[in-house]
Parts: sequence; structure tokens; C-alpha cells
Amino acid sequence: MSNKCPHLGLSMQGKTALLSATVEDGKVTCNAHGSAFDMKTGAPVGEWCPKLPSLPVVASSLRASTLVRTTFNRAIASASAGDALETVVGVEIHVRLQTRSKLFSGSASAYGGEPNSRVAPFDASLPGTLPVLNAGAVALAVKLGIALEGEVQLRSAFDRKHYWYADLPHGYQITQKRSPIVLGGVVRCQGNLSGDDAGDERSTDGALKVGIERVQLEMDTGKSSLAEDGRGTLVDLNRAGQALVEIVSEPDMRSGEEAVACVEALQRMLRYLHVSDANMEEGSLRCDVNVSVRTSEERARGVFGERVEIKNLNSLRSIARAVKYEAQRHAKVLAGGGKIERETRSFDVNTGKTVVLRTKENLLDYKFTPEPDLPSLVLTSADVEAIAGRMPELPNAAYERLVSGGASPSASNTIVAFPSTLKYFDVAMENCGAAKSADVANFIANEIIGAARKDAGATHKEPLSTLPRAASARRVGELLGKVADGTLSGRMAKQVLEALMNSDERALGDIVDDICGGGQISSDDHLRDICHSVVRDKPEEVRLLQGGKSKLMGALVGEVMKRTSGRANPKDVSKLLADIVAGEP
Amino acid sequence: MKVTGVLGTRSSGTTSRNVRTRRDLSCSSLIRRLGCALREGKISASELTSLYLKRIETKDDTLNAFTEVDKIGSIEQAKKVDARLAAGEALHILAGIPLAIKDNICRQGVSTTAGSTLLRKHLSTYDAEVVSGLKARDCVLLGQTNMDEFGMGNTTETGLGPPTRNPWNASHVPGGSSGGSAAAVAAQMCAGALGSDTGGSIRQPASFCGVVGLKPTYGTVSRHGLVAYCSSFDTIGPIGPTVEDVSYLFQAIKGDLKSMKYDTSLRRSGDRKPLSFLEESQLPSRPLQGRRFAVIAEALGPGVSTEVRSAFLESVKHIEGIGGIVDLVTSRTFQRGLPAYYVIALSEASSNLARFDGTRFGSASFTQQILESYTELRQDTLGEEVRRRILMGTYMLSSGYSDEYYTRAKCAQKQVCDELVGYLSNYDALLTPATPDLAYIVGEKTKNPLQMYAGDLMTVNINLSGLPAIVVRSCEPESNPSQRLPIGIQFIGKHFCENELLEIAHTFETSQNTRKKFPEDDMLSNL
Repeated sequence: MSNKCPHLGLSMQGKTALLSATVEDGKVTCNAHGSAFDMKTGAPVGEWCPKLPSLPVVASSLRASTLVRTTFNRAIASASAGDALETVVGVEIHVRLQTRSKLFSGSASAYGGEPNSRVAPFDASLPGTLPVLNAGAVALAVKLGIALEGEVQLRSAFDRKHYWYADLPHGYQITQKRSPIVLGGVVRCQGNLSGDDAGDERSTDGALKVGIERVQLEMDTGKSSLAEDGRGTLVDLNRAGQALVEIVSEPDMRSGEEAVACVEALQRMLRYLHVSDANMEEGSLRCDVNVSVRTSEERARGVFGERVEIKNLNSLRSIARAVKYEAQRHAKVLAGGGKIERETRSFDVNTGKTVVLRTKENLLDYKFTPEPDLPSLVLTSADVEAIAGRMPELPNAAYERLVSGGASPSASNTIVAFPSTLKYFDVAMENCGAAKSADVANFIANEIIGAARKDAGATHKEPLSTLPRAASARRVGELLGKVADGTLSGRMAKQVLEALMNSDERALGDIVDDICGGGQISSDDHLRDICHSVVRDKPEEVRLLQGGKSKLMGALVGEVMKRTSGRANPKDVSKLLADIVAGEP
Repeated sequence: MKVTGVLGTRSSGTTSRNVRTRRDLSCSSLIRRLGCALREGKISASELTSLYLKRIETKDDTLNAFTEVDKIGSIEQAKKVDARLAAGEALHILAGIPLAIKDNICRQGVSTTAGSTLLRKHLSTYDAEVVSGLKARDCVLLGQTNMDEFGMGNTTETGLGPPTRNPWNASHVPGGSSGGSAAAVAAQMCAGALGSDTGGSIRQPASFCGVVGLKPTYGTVSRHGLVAYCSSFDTIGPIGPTVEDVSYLFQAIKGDLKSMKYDTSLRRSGDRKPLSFLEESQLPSRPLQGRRFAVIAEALGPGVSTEVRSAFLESVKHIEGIGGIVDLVTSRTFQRGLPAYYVIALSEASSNLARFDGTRFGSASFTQQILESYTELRQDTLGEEVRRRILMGTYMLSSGYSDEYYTRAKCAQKQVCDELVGYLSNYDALLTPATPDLAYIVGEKTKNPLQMYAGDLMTVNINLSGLPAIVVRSCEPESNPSQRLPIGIQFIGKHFCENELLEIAHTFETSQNTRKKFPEDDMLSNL
């Protein structure tokens, strides 16, 4: 039978949840308006078009009651105990753009501020105000589109998405539903695919590749919060109208960890592009995930399970936990013979569980309509090429550069996480003399970034933002240069670094003299003399050593170290002692 | 299809020549007359303003054209103009001219209610772009004029306060929604006014009140500061006693590059034609010689009253008499306009009015759930017509319905526009009556919305196509003028070619046998 309801020609089983037809008692019911048809003959059954679409609040009293029905879902094989279900995840990420002003008004766009201090007449939706598109926001969206390898659309347009809430002064959000500014694209994540899927279509080299469906420009809402006395809601419109892009991925991830990898890769990209600080704590990056599960048989047929959207996950950890919980919940429901309903849920960080926000019956009708106050957004290919010509190095390219320069994958990963940390590494490299890039990378990843992270707690802010000036990349580079040329031992370097971290701003040489007494004593005559004296003073140990008790070398080295107050280079000492013991001069 | 010469005899210019010899002073521009008087020292701007304020005091109790009169502000402004004129400054022709503004156009510090209880306490925080334009030319702004709530109506009965009355006959409506502005001009309570036109809201009241109203091309006048009804059609435009008055106001409110800062839907006018208005005495015998006009046949079809039809045909005859070539064309799409217009206008209205939720304007109680509070406030404070239109608009935007209604209406809009623009490639202007009927009796249409919507038949297609159109008083068959209500004729011009349109309308107006411009004697005839 036809999938089209003859009433308005709508698909009865389509993408829109609202419009999924239901089947019961041998008839199929178009969910848009409630017309029903006999499954065998196709003849209309019962009242024609009994259901009105939802009406605005002025007419809430007229609203037809929404009938609850079982949906005409594809059959979901109830998951038997042994049948492992595959988790499928897609993400929708809202990113606040680093623009000076808001998307459609001239008021300042920044985090925080006195409540309602950054509100232009348009942001408060005062009568007569019109949106004026911020060209800077468009440029950032284009830049992001190019970095994502998507297709930047030379013509895109804005729509209104209607719903009622106190922090949405217009009664609608301006977004790009029909024609977004970027279509398609890919996020290439660091790290490997979940499970044993390394051979699947999502990757050619075992690294996760997540498809991007679209990137759209839209405006942010204000912020509601509970009044301190608990009586009433306060609304701050500073955020209202700030420029966002929404990045919608394909359902290409198979676990919470993969979703985290994708978000992390996006965060890096956004920071490198100076499109956003992508900071989840301040809400510069907000993540919704769509989770579904499917059997191997469904996977083979290329179909997906019914999906559930989890809104507003505000940390990477929450993303991983929420996906895991939700996938397990789906499996449990299916195993119990139940069925997953399309719905919107939220994640409670305290309990680690998801709870229902809106069920399918209550999904909002956003009444999308073209935004009549804004002309189409038209770009020329020259505009796009100009932006493409000014693209900075992207994190994946930087990662490849570091790894091919000899740095370890994990250190490289840490260093490329922020443009500032990469810059730090690059400047240190320019000043480190003979030091190997692998050593510089390890030192910076562990001693500088790792330490800063530990101090800052679990936040994902720029880790070097609080680094003292004394520990600048140039000075740390020079410090590592001194290790490389043998002036300092690794241990000494750490001592000096500690001083730098405590804002010791004296010249590096002075600090070295002060803390390490001029640095490490390497294979010079002075060290040779000390070694000779130790050999002289420890004849018994030397005899045993010569007799084959090689362990005693350590004791001799220790003695030399003791006599040099730890400034000798232990490697050199070993070599000198070995030579002396072997009777060489 | 076109039929040539069926509407009137293409006679020699004798009739019109005779007509033109009957000189009527009130036909020449009021603003120009006042501008000269101010500069010649015949009257000062403050005296002029006081005269108008006094006029408002005596007339407006019965007419209710104004929602607010700014006595102190307008006298202050007039005094400034007097000082500058005395200092010998060369000021714009509009300097010191007392004007009125429709109450949906924002003025800083002045209440802008758009005729709605919900906005009763709304003081605008900024000047609309058109208000800035007038202020920059040192106009005196007397006050805000009455209108149908949010512009939704064509009778000016649904605004704040009592209905506005037609100065020609107070038992009739002035039309709407810019009825306050049209009535104020006709009753000589201001020298000119601004209105807004979404589906005829300038042109229909201009016709009902016997004044001139221009709806400029969509996108030539900034909407910044206009309380939105239907963004795709809303157009601010001038209303004045004569075409020349209207053209002064139009030049002052036209958007420029600077206006793009607040309204990016503005388009740059391609109109490079300079305006040149000939005085009646300067007109050649056949001033419209070589001009080509087309009458849309459907605009004379069923639903058009006998008086309107005969006045229209009289006007066509006159146009032919002064040299114009008039053809009859049929419009395939004419009837599609009205339903398409209402679908788009109401859909956008439901969206544009969503912002009025009681948090910033109005006083929702918020003692219950937020959605219930919104509902209660909107149910209690929005008028019946506004609620009806929001309901219909929301219905048509609902999931599953928007394709059926909105998308199809957009399609019809394109057809209407293409057809009209197509005709305008062969003609200088298209002609229709301004309204199907004369001004209604107060209360006549309020209970029958469908009849009220049908009154927009002549005007909505012009909004759908964004074209400029001007309504001037038509030639009317001779009879006792005092008992008659005025009847207007609509000239429709090419996109962005307002100057050409104004010139044609001016010629028509100046050359015809016009009865008194105002229902009462010209209060400034001594100037």
C-alpha cells in the first residue's frame, strides 16, 4: 500500500516522529490528522481527519486530545540474552562562536557579565527591531566548514523555529533548517575504533572518521535560573542572540568513547580555527547525543533502531556515561520484549541515569517558516576561497608533524589539544639547541601541561593560561637544551623547572648556578680525579667488581654522586669508572 | 488578452481643457504652500503648530484619529525651527511642517502601542528609521494616530479607544488600518502623515478619506522601528493632501545605504529619474500623451459597487482625454491574490506576534505554569480579530499544513507578481479602483470578517508583488459633493519607479475636475 496519506499527501512513515503512522486493528492511522485506512483494502475507516494540528496558546482550550497509540515501527528483534547489540551514536553540537558581537545585533557577545547588561533592542525582541546578520559569524562558520571538508553553500537561508519559553524573547529561534551554510564533512578523530570494528566502513586506517551532515548558523537563547528565594524564575538575556553553529553528525559512532573522541577532535579543531574556545564548562560547547541499538542482523541490513535524544550533556565524561547507560537501558527494554519509543531525555550526573523530558506524543511542532526579515545569505566563491587561503595548521596536521618528528603519539596528542600548547612546543623547539623533539615533547606533555592540568583540576580550559612568565616556552626550551648538551641532568632540569614554576624570573644561567651549583659535572678531568679517588678508597669493592660482581658498579657510581653532591652525569661516571677499573688510564 | 479603447472615447482634449480652466487652489501642494509661508514670514512654525494643535483639540473628540498628541514636544520643535529660520538657515522644505505618525512606528520616549492593549505601556527606546528621517529634516511631530490592532483590519475600529470616524461623514469608518493618519490629513489635523501598508492599509483609508496615499516598493523604506505584522509585505508610506505632499514625505523616509545598518531587506532603488512636477498652469493640453495604461478587467468584476465602477470609468475617460492610451487586460491570477495574501500574512503574523507573551509587555501574572500564564494574558489582552488571525496563521504553519497552505501561497504570490510585472513591461502603470466599495458604516463589517477581508481585493496583489502603488481621488460623476464619500483610483507602477508613478498621479490629479480636497474649508487658505 502507498506510504502517502491521501489527505495531504504526507508520508505516513517518514523522518518526522510526529508523522509516524500507527497500526492497530488492521488499520493504519496517519498520525498527522488521524485519518485511518483499512490495511487490506486501503479504504478510509472512521472519521475523516479527526485530529487538528496543535494550535497556539491562545487556543489551548481548543487543542484536540492527542491519542496514544502503539507505533508502526519496523519489527525490532527482541534481543535474546546472547545476541550482542551494537550501540549507534550521533551527536548534535552547539558551539558558541568567538564573535565580538551577537549574530543579529550589535551588543557584545561574551560569557558572563551583569545580567541583562549586554542586550540590544533586538535581543529583547522589542517591537520594530530587525535582525542584521553578523558577517564575522558567517566567516567563522565558513572556516569551520572548510576545516570539516564540507561543502560551503554559496546560498543559504534562515528559518524561524517556534516554541514558547521565558528565555526566548522572540517566541522563535532564528536558525537554518532548510538550507544550512555547510553540508557534509568529516571529523577525523585521534585514537582507534571501538571494539573489533577496525575493518568497517568508518575508516580506512583504523582511525575513527565521523561524517558530518550539516553545520548551521543559529542564535542562542537567554538563560533562565531559579531565583535565590526559590520563588520564580529569573531570565538573563546576555546570552540571547549570541552566535552559534550547530554541527550535526551522522550516526557514525558506536560507543560513548567514540562520541567523546569525536567531540574532542571537534574541540581541537574549533580552537585551532579560533572559531570558539569550545569550553564545555562555560557552555561554549554543548552536546546532545542520539543513541540507538541494533542487532547484527539489522546492521547487516543497514537499518537502525529507534533513537532517543539525550539533551545538554555538559562534560566529556557525561557523554560517555550517558551513552553507556542509555544503550544498556535499550538492551534491557528490548530483552524484556519492550519497544524503544522516540523521545527526548536528559542525563542526571548524580544518579548516572537518563530521565524522560518529552515523549513522542509531546514532541514540539516547531512550525518552521522562512525568516522574512533576512534575505538569503549569499557568498561568492571568492569569499570562500579567501577564507580557505587563510586557514591555520589544523590539529591533525600538527599531530602528524609531531609524530613524524619522533614525538610519542600520547605526548603529541596532549600537545596538540590546544593551539596554545602546540605554540608552546614549537617555541620551545626553536630554543632547545640539540634537544630531540621526542624529549621536548615528553617533557612538555608531562612536566608542563600535565602539571598545569593537575593544578587546574578536571577542567578542560586552556591548561597554560595560568603558567608563570618565568616558565615561558623559550626558557623551558633553553632548559631542555642544557639537558641535551649535558650541562644539566634530568633531575636538575626538574629542580630548575620547579623554580621557574614558582616565578623565579632570574636569568636561566643564574638559577642553574644557584640550584645546581653550575650544573652537571661531565667527563672532564675533575670528574676523572674524583672517580680515581673513589677507586683508590674502595679497593675491596673494586676487587670484587673485577672478579665479576658487576652489581658493585652501582655502589661506586653512588659514591661518586655523593662526592659531587649529585651534579655528576651518572652515565659519564659509569663509563669513567669502568675504564679505570679495567686498568685503562 | 487586451482590448483597446473600450473604456472611453479617445476624444480630443477639449473636455479636459475645459476642466483645467476651473482652478482649484487646494490642489497644489499644502506642504509647499506652508514652506513658502514659513520662509516669507507669513506665519511662524510655532503659530502653525498651535493652529494644528487647536484643530486637533476641536475636531478629534469626535474623530478619534490620534492616540496621543505631543503638545509640548511639537511646540518646542517648532520654536527651534523658528529660531533657525530667523538665523537665516536654509532648511529642508519639511522643516516646521506638522505631521502625524501611525502608532505602530516607534518614536523614542513616546508610547507606541500598535493599537493594542498589550502595548499600552510600551515606550519605545529608539526612533524608527523613518522617524529619524523626518527628525533630520526638522519636521514637527504632532502625535501618534489610531489604527486597527497590530494593523489587522481595514476600519480602524479595533485599536485602543473608540473607533476613528471618517471626516467626510462621521457615521462611516475612515478605512484602515492607517485610518487615523488618513482621517487626520483629511480633517486638517496635520499637513501629512505616515502610515503602513501590509495589504492596503495606506491606500484603502486614503481612498475612503479622499486623500493621497503611497505604498512604496517593498524594500525602499526601512522597516526598522515598524511594529511587525507581516514582514514580507509591511511597508511604511506617506499620506498627504496631494501627490506632491506625498512625494516630499516619501523622499524624506526613503532608505539609503545607512539605513541598511538596521534593515538588510532594503534594496537600493534603481530609480534615477528626477522628479519634476508641473503646476496646473504649466501642463500641456495632453499631458499624458504617449503614456500607456492597462486596466485590470477583473478589478471591475463582481463585488465592485456601482459608484466605484462609474467613478473609475469616469477617471479612465479623463486619462484618455488627456492623451493616455488605456487598454483592458485580463489577469489570470487576480483572484488568487486574496487567499494567498491572507495565508502568508496570517502565518507571518502568528510568528511575529509570538513575542508578545507578557514578560516584557503586558502584565502576565505568572502565578501558574509559564504556558498557562501566556495563554491567559494573550486571551485576555489581544483583540478578537488579532486572536483569530494568530489562530489561523498558526494553524497554517503547523507541521503537515505549512506545505498545503504556506508553500502554495508562496507559489501563488510568484504567479501574481510575475503577471503584474509582465504587464508593466508594456505599460507605464496599471489601473484599478482603490477599493471595491465606499467607506463602510461604523460597525458594519466587524461581525463579518470574510466581508472585511474581501475589501482588500484591490490592494493585496500589489503587496504580494512588492510593487509601488498610489491612490488618488478619482474623477467622480457630478452630484452634490457634501453628501458623497470620496472614491479613489489606484495607479500601480514598476518596482522602484516611484518617481514616474508620482509624476503620472500628479498629472492626473492636477488636470482633473477635483472637488474640494478637504471635507471642510481649507483652514490655511489665507497662506
